[in-house]
Amino acid sequence: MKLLIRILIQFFGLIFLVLTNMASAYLLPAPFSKINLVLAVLIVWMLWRGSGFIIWWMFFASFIVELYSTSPFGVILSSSTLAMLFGYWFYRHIFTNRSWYAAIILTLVIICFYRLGYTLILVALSILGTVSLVPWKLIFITSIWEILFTTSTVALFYIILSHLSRHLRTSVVEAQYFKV
Amino acid sequence: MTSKSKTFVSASTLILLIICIHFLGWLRPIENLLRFFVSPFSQKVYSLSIQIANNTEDFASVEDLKQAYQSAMENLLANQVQSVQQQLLEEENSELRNQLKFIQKKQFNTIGAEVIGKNIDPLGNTLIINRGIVDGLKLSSAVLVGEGVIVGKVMRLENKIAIVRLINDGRSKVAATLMNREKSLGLVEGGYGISVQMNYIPQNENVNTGDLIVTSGLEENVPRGLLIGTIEAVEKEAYQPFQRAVVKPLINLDKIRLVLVVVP
Repeated sequence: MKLLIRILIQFFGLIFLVLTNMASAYLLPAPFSKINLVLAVLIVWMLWRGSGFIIWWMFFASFIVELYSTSPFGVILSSSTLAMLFGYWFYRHIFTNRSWYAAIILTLVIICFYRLGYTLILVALSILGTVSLVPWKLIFITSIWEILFTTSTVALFYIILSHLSRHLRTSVVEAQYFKV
Repeated sequence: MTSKSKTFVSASTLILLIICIHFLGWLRPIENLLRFFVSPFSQKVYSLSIQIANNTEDFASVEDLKQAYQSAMENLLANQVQSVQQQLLEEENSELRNQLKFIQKKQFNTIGAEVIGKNIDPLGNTLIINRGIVDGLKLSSAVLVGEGVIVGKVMRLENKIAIVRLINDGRSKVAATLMNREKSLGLVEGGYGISVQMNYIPQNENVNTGDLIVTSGLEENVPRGLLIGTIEAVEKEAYQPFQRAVVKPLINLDKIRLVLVVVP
């Protein structure tokens, strides 16, 4: 029963997250609407909880986004899930100190992987003749805005949460590290 | 094989599996369930965004506001004059048609649709409408506002919804004709989601600001004569084989609530 409730909470939580992302895209003026709230919240969650389950959340959130996208099914799903997977490895092995700058660099890396994967899949599909290629300039400009606003949001969430919770405080991590 | 490679391979396999199952149509019940939760919310938030957009109009200065007011008054006067002229012409046309026993034939059929959302993917400029395959929509069908102004084309179809690519989307292409003396042909393309351009206009043809642009009818499911916009600026380089023009759409593409979709 507990497991079922947990699954339901996670399911509706993810739908709520996608809806929030949708609302930000509709209500915020350009270029602020380029913010990727799903990615921002999941990155902060990864830093807070450190769980690899975040990859599956990204998978399901992207699945919902795919239902309302013009790109062929699977482009957003595969690029975002694999970007989150790489991001998680980076978090586990490189940016391990849970500092604010690690959070920012991690966001930057994940968005770069995501847009790179997205573009490579579209290029491959355009070679096969199934889609028309997105102009490079558009990808570049959009990615810059997306990085700027998503990174700022992650930094903001990080600052707020680090005041509210001990999980995100670097000193706590360091203390645990040196504990004998 | 290391654990990292195993995770990568299993995640990739799962993604490929999901994509295959989607294209086989087996995921439709799950997709419909998710749309059942998401679409009503999307519609409400979209309506709210339109309300907010309708209540605000940005002006850089008081002079800009005055200029906009004067321009609106001039347009109103011109429209009133045009309206009277049009009424007279309509009456005359109707009379002539009757005299010639002309059978009035509608060139294309349309179906009304409500806009329930717009793009979530920042790389696109799209609308989500509440009509789909079950309503007889076809891919690449023209999507209109007010019966005669094209705003985009249907690019993705599901059973009960469709996704429309707007004319200012970076991937949008519409075959067009300029209403100048030469009736120049060209291609109307989206300019990075913020503007619309008409490209491939032959260099030797006359293009003037204010010229109307309509669809050329060279595409399937896009009838001839649908209004696209007017020429705002012309970019002409002597060494280029073609000239291009910046197009001003006739309606604000951020404030669309109801559309008509051309159906066969």
